[in-house]
Amino acid sequence: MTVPIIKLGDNLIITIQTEMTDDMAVEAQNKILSRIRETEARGLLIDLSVIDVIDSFMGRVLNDTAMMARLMGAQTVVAGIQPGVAVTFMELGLKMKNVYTVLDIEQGLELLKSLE
Amino acid sequence: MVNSITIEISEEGDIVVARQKGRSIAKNLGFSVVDQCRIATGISELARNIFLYASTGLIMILTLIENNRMGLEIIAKDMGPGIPDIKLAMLDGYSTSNGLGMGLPGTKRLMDEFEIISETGAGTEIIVRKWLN
Amino acid sequence: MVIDLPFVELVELRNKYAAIIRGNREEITANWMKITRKKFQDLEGVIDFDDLTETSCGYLERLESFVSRGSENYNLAEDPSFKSYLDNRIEHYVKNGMPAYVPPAYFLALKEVMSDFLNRYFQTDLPLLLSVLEMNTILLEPLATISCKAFVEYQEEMIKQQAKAIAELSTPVIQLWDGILALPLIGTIDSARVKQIMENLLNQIVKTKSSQVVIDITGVPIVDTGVASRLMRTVEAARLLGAECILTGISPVIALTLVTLGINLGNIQTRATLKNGLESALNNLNMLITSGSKGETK
Repeated sequence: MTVPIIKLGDNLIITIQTEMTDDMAVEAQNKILSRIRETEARGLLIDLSVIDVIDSFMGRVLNDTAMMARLMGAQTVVAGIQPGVAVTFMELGLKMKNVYTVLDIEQGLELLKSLE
Repeated sequence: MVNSITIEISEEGDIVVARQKGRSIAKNLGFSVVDQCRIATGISELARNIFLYASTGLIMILTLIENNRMGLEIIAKDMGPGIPDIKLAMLDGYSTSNGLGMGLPGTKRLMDEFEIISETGAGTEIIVRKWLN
Repeated sequence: MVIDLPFVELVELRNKYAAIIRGNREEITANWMKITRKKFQDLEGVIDFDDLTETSCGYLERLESFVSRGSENYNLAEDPSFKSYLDNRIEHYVKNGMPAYVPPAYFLALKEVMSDFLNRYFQTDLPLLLSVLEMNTILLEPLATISCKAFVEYQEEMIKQQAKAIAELSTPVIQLWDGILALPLIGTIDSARVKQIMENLLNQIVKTKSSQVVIDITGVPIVDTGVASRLMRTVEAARLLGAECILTGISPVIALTLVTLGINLGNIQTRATLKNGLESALNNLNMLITSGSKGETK
């Protein structure tokens, strides 16, 4: 099971379709970073709307990905975080760093456009 | 009524299995969507701890009825190296596995009750509970 | 065993007791209702006595079938048929506004009526009369407590449900404009309530796809550290969903509390009033309210 990455203009869009194991998350991270390099993308839009658990490991992978993407010149926008996931994320004591958050992909694309 | 299921944790995919089972039991008991998420995430943290530190262990999920209230109890048990300093392990940001160190203290915040019994060399047992209100 | 009789005689006694009920069902019911009515004259409009008469017949039927079973059990509450009927009736009467002091007196009235009948039937055999009266007491007296307990428990359950319903009503999330929600908080906010408010708000954000939320705390008299930190967490959680929160209506007392307690509102936008908050929200969405003449579209 791999995570599909779509290139749209200067941006990469990643919609995560299933619950992810740790291995899948790390694999997705590697794939995203190499695609940024290949495509010289300026923006990264990650849709998490089907994800119903983000634990400390997933949170770290997400933050790390955003930080590395930024080092490589791409801004990260995360879309569609579920209410329960957001509350749990806060209570675990995690923080989203270097990441913009939006309600859905549509708003994410608008934001990426305005950042250009 | 005491229902319980046990999930063996021996590979990484078992973490996902455990939290999915926990979520579906929490849902059946009538926990809110946010509480379901707290419970699933708590189980994920506990199962990952087992996998990271002890390689193998068990996650038990029980439904509780006590004084007219219902709840869920999750027991995470392993025969691993144990936690040498529990106080330290419960500190935000402390980790021996290169993690964020949010697992245990974070799980405590997600749940209503949290107990930890650990002996160096003999393993660790963590019991957490969440009550339906 | 409570009554000091050999088992065979005991069964016989129970059969006689059951037979008396069977033979005098209507009269027992009538007397029972007469006493109850007299005791609760003042509740004439509150209690539907026809309905209660029907209920009484139901109790008698179940009492008879319980007693005619040859066992040494006198606990009616352990009889599934009787208990489920009792629970059902109690629920019915709680809903109809019967006061909690009625059920105990009602069952004690039955005991009184039954004693009269037993006196009449067994007056020639004094030792037997004593035994059967004792049985009557053992059977019926506990019903006063049992019914009262069931009544209060059901009442509490109902109050709990109502409190929940009121709590839900008292924390409405209002859509002010496309993409803008308002959460006017009113009254004392404890941890249980703030938890519920927040979950409700987050769900509404997703449902209405709103990216601006004005949280107005004008109506909140006091904020403690617990509530403040929960509020902060919600603002952060809303941000994770993609919504910005604007806090309005912070009273001088709350401002003082926040500063005294050292609570940092971080980078939350704050405005004086709900009106200003709405203005900011519109501004954030690149919208503007302008005045124009009627019918003119701007």
